[in-house]
Amino acid sequence: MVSRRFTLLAGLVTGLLLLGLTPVEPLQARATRNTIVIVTQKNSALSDLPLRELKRLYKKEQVTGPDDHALIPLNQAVGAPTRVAFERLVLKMSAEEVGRFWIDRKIRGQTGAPKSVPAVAMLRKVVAALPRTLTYLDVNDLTPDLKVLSIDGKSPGTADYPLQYD
Amino acid sequence: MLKPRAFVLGAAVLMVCAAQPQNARAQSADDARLAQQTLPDAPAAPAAQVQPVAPAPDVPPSPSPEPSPPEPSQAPPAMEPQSATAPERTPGADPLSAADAATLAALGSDFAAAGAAELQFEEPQISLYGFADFTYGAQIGKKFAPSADYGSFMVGNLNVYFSTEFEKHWRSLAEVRFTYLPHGSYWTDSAFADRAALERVDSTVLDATDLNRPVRLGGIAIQRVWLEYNFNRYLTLRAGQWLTPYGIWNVDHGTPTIIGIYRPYIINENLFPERQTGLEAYGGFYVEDTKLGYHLTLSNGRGPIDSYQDLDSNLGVGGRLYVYNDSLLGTFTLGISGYRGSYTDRSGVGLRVEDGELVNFDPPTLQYDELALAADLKWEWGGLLVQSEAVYRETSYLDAARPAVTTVPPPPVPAQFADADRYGVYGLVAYRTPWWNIMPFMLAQYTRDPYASDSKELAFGVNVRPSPRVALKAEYKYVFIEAVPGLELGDLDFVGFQVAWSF
Repeated sequence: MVSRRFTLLAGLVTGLLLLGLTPVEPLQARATRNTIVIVTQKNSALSDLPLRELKRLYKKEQVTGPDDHALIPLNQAVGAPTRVAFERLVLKMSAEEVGRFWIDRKIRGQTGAPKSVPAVAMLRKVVAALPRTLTYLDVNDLTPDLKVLSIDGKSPGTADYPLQYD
Repeated sequence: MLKPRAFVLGAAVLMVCAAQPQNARAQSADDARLAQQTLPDAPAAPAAQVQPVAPAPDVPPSPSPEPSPPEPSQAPPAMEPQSATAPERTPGADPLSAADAATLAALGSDFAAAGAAELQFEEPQISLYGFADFTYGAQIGKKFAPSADYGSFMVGNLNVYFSTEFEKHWRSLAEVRFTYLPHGSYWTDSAFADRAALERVDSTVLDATDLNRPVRLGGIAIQRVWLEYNFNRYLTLRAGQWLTPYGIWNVDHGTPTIIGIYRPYIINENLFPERQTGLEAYGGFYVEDTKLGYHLTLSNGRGPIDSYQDLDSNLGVGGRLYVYNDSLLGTFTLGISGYRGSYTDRSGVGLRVEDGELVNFDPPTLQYDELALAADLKWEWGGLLVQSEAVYRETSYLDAARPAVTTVPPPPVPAQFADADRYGVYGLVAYRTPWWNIMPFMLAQYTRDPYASDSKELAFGVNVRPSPRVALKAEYKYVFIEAVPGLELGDLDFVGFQVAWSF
């Protein structure tokens, strides 16, 4: 005799077939690789950043947005896993190298690292509220009040999105 | 046997899920749990507060056969419940709380640059930091360098920076070096002066607050102090005293940043002025992966008191052009620099009467024109560092203000400095290994100096950064010195150990 559970499962499978969909997984399960997203204010005119400009921005070079005003990058706390991954992906530096980079810059008299906001919740709030700020988040930390930027024209979740790592 | 009701229920659930945008799909219990795990700093909200979020307006809700990327709006974690119909957050609509603003104020003035009215900080944010070094140095072969008969421990630099970004576009930096000098040193501007004729400075005084016990006073050497305004990426204007923007070493400046212990002669001998007082403009722009940048300088030029007074009407002018490329082969910088100016010294007390009028009569006691040119190259690829600089300087004295030669040994007949060209080059190769950040390095240099002697030098060493803030160095250098007529100098070798740290 066919159980009720089996019947429910059959219904699910049939529903899938009817919709012509592949199974829809939760975001975390679907992201086989860890993904970092770049976010800014919801109403920002900025929608895409070339990876090289992102790198420059986080090396404290001046990068302007569509309104021709300088963008303001914000960091997560030193040592935060997402920050470490971001710096490895974008700056191509380990945490040690990043530390040396900023200390050497300050001794040269140049500007220091982008400001870091210690708590992710606070960071999201700041970026959502303050024009021209942007930051990076783990995809799981996204909130609806933030706008996700594509990088080099590639949106998060696409296979060749550059800010993914294992 | 299939149960029609369960079948229909399953299919319906699937269709509803598929029709929802991904931001809502992400709003699962797993999402919330994961978000809470990754945000331990945020208070967890009861599960009942987790509310579904409506599709964002820019997210098409239609199902797609392709796995679509995460959309800008993802479900909020449980600790930040959002209204299903919440409007877009704007700075004016949802200002930061006073507590948030206070936290941001502590983070710096970048936020003020964002223009948020609630973040008008009353006090500038001052960053206080610096570096210091402690060195043991000794000559280990023939010894004739002044005061180098014995190996010595020394605290060479204690430099403190005061950096301020106090308003939008404005930045200020002051760097001072605290030093034990001038106590124990000599009043002279020549390293080769006959010290037998000189007297050691003694700054020892009695400390009335401590039973008149003697205390040695040190000094403060202002390294730089400037204010700059950033117009845009193409132009920043700086006013004050700044390090001359030529080459690599002079800008690297601090011992934690510099690879070796001993500076190359072409840097140490100030063929370019190490610092100048005046105006500097700099900027740059990118073409793909390549940056083209410039520095232009206008200053008092060199002089005995050039930090605060120019003793001639010839301003020093200079500049640097560089190309910086950041690509798969690392970063590569190529630059050229130039400086032209006059050094003038006067007694500063000359007056006389001419035709019944009191006029200044203060002819120069020393004056020369100088032209300095330099080229530099730096390539960093992974742990590899290749760095080189070449500097050329020509000086042309005013005959009436040409100094006498006071070197050791003294010239056979009284002589004056001749116009001369000095130049040199150094090359540094180093590799930062992944093992404890150990960086072996080798530096070779050649110097042509008619005022002293030509020399070639080879140095080997190791630079270790056990922490980004600490550099441990050991260096051995061998100097091949060209004999000067009548004097066999012989080669020299030195060894040094240094710890340099930033704080």
